[in-house]
Amino acid sequence: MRTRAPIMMAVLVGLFALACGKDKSVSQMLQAWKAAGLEPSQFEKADTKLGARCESGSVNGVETMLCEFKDASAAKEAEPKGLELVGETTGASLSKGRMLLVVADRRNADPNGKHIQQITKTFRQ
Amino acid sequence: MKRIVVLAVLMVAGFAARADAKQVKFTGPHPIHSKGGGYCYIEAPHVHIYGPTGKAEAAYRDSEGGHFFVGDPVPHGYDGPRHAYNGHHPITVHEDTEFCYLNGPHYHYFTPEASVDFEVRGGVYYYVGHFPPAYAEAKVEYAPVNAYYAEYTYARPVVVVEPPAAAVYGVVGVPVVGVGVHAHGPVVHGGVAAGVGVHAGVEVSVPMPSVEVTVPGVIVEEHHHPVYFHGKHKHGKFKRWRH
Repeated sequence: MRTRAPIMMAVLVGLFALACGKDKSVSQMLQAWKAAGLEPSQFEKADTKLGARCESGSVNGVETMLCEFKDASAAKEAEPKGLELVGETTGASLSKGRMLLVVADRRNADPNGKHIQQITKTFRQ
Repeated sequence: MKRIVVLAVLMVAGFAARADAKQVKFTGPHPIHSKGGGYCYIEAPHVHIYGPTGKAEAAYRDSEGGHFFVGDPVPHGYDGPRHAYNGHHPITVHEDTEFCYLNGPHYHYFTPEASVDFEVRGGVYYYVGHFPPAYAEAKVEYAPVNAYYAEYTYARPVVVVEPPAAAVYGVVGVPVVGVGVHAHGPVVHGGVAAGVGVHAGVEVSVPMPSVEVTVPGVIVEEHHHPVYFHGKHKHGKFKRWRH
């Protein structure tokens, strides 16, 4: 009975995290985008100067990067740097919890922004 | 696998730091002010390399460090849910109160805040509250939005049900007109044809304060001929602003 205690604790911690709306991981975001009808590519590790662990790929032809920071304030503070990465094109840099989403439509794959709307809306949910 | 690696390298290169970006921030959906036009549906804060210029500026409010579009999205190719309004009215923009100065029937993609005094008649929202001094103060800057929309020909909402008696429009000689019927108010300037069977933009400079004016309108379908009615609106006697 005593050996089950750590397992029970882990389960409780997991349930607590879910109840508190734990930030989605990159793989969870990819699944969420697929569930929203989007078509994300495979994401690969991205080397940036944002000071976080980042992965990038594309979603319906829109360049997309997800970065995981140590805490929410660090992710929020990184939003302007994310916009620097967007550069001279249509894009966005949004944080939610410890995650930062950066999207850039460099190839004009989304001229009316409907895909970016779905990408950002799903990220913020 | 090799293709994936190449793609990943390109993605990282794409996100390499770009300095001196000419970005313009928007904080909601808006018309596309660049070649090709159209409508941008992104609700989250985002950037483009173009911004509103000239007459279009009157269709925006500054909000959260960016441009927030408060005009009629329909003539820009918007194909989402739309809500009909008639006359001037308050708008809640990210918890701030702004005002729409579009004359006559028009659309927005948003509905009013429940706490603001609107009445719905025939599927059209009418503001039935009182305009605070801020409304008049900002009118000079934002009323030119009507000149911007005069450049577009599109089907505005057609009002076919009598407006509420308490409706305020922000203009004298309210352009509530049904098919083929013209409203004749004390026209000083304006007069803009705006789409099939609807004529909008009849506006009069209202002397302030405490000038009582009548607001003529037209009922079209409930009677078989146009019937004018009169409402009253006292300018310069605003009650406490609620929102």
